[in-house]
Parts: sequence; structure tokens; C-alpha cells
Amino acid sequence: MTPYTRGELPEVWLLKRILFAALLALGIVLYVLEGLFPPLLPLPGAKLGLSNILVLFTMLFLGYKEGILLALARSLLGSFISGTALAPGALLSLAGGLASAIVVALSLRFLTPPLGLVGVSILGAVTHNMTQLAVAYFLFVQIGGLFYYLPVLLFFALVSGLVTGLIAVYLFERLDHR
Amino acid sequence: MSQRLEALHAFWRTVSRYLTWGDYLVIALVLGGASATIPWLQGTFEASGRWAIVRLEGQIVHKLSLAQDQEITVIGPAGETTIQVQGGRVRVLRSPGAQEICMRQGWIHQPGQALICLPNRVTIEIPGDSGIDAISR
Repeated sequence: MTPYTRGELPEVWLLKRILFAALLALGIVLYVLEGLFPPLLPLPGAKLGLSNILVLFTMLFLGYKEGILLALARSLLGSFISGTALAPGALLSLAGGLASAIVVALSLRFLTPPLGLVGVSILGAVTHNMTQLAVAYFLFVQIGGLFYYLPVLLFFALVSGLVTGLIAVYLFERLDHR
Repeated sequence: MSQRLEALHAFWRTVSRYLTWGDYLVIALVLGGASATIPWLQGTFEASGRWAIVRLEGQIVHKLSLAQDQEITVIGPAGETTIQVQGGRVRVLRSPGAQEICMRQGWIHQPGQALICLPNRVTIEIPGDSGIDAISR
């Protein structure tokens, strides 16, 4: 009856699952809550992406694969809860979330000595917005005018990555003191 | 005032403690990328993606690129209608008709706009939708 524990003590295995479930629940809540707020600017793409803090946290404390899984599950379940599932917007969000999580994992693994969490977070946000733009272009509207939006999206990604990154560093510093 | 400045300074000290030189590099690169793409995109997509579709009695007779200055004439049931494209905009120069409605409309340049010369059965339309289809959340 003992679950497959990959060489870990069953207690540790169980704690990791519970932590993952709790983080996923928090991520979904942040994702849905953020969607409920009226946008700060009447433009798509201007969103903070607070649940990405939890993706960062999961990658640092549980592992990269778990972080990517969390990003995927968060977009999927979050869009079902907020009622936007299967709409074009949800697909964009899913693709953006997945690509961004992969880039964040890679840059955490290979780029963290020169980069801090803020830089990683900005890279993730930029990937998120660029992926959305690319998916929107190839799947929905193939007009060049869409790329008008590129500088605006880049700028928003910079701001949101900066803010979420700073929150993440602040948060993790507090956690380290415990 | 100075208190507020001090608070701002303290905030900046806290924030800058969290940033490595790599972070600054990323910020600079993204800012540079964003500002570098602005003129490039404007030049590429401003007019080249836009067309004016000229119809005579409902049939498409011309497809004019707004990126190219030109003048064309369409012969309809009431006479000649001359259409001019200049600087990414389009207008009707001359057209038969007592009220001259399409000439008085002046220049159009945005998707969704149209010029209609009813006596001569000529319509000029810039296709496309300027609205937003969906907002991703």
C-alpha cells in the first residue's frame, strides 16, 4: 500500500503532494481573483500575473517539473472556474502560461547566477505575452496589424514581471528568516 | 516634501537590494526591444496592411493598396468617378451626382470606413475591423 516514493520517505513524499495541492489551490484563487478585478488599463495584456509568484515558489521548493505542472493546471482549472474555458482567451492564457513556465524553469536552472528572481520573472512575463501574441496571430487573426501591439505588450510584460518578481523576492526573503 | 522623498529613497534602497546586474540587463534589453520595435512596426504595418476595395454595382473592380499613392478612374452608369490615394488615405476627387456627397466626405483611412457615390453605383471601402475580438485573462 506504500505509494511509489522515488527514494523519499513516505512522509516527505506526502508533504510534497500536500504542499503542491495547497500551492495549486492558491494559484487558482489568485488567477480567478485577478480576472475579477476590472483591468487597470482598458487594454488586453495589462495584467500582473500574481499566480506566477506561486509558479516561482513551486519551482524553487518542489522542482521545475512541478512548477510547470502547476502553471498548466492553474491556467486550465482557473479558466474553468472563471468561466472563460474553451474561449480563445483561455487558449492564449494556457499557451502563454506553459511557455512562460518552461522559460522560467530554464532560466532558473541555467541563468540564476547572473540573474535574480526579478530578471527571471521579467523573462517569464515577456515569454507569456509574446507567446500569446504569436498564438493569436497563427490561430485567430492573421493580420500584420496585430504586431502593432508588440511594443505595448513588451512594456506591460516588463512592468508586471518587475512587480511580481519584487513581491517574490520579498516573500522568499521573509521565508528564509524562519 | 522631503519626508516623502526620503520614503521614496528608502523604497528604492529596498528594491535595488533585490536586483542583480543581470536583472538590470534584462530590464534594459526589454525596454530597448520595446522602444526599438515602435518605429519599425509603424513603418511596416501602418499602411501596407490596408486596402481600399472599389466596387461598381457591387462587383469588385479595384483593390488599391493604401501604401501606394495613385489615382484611378471608374466608369459607371452616370459617368466617371476619380479616386485618389495619397499618404495612406483615400478620397473621391470627382464623381457625377448633384449632391456630391462622396466628394464632401473627404479622406478616409481607417478600417470600417467607406465612401459611397450612389448616382454612379461606386463604393470604396477599407475592410477590416478596428474593434477587439477577445480579451485574454
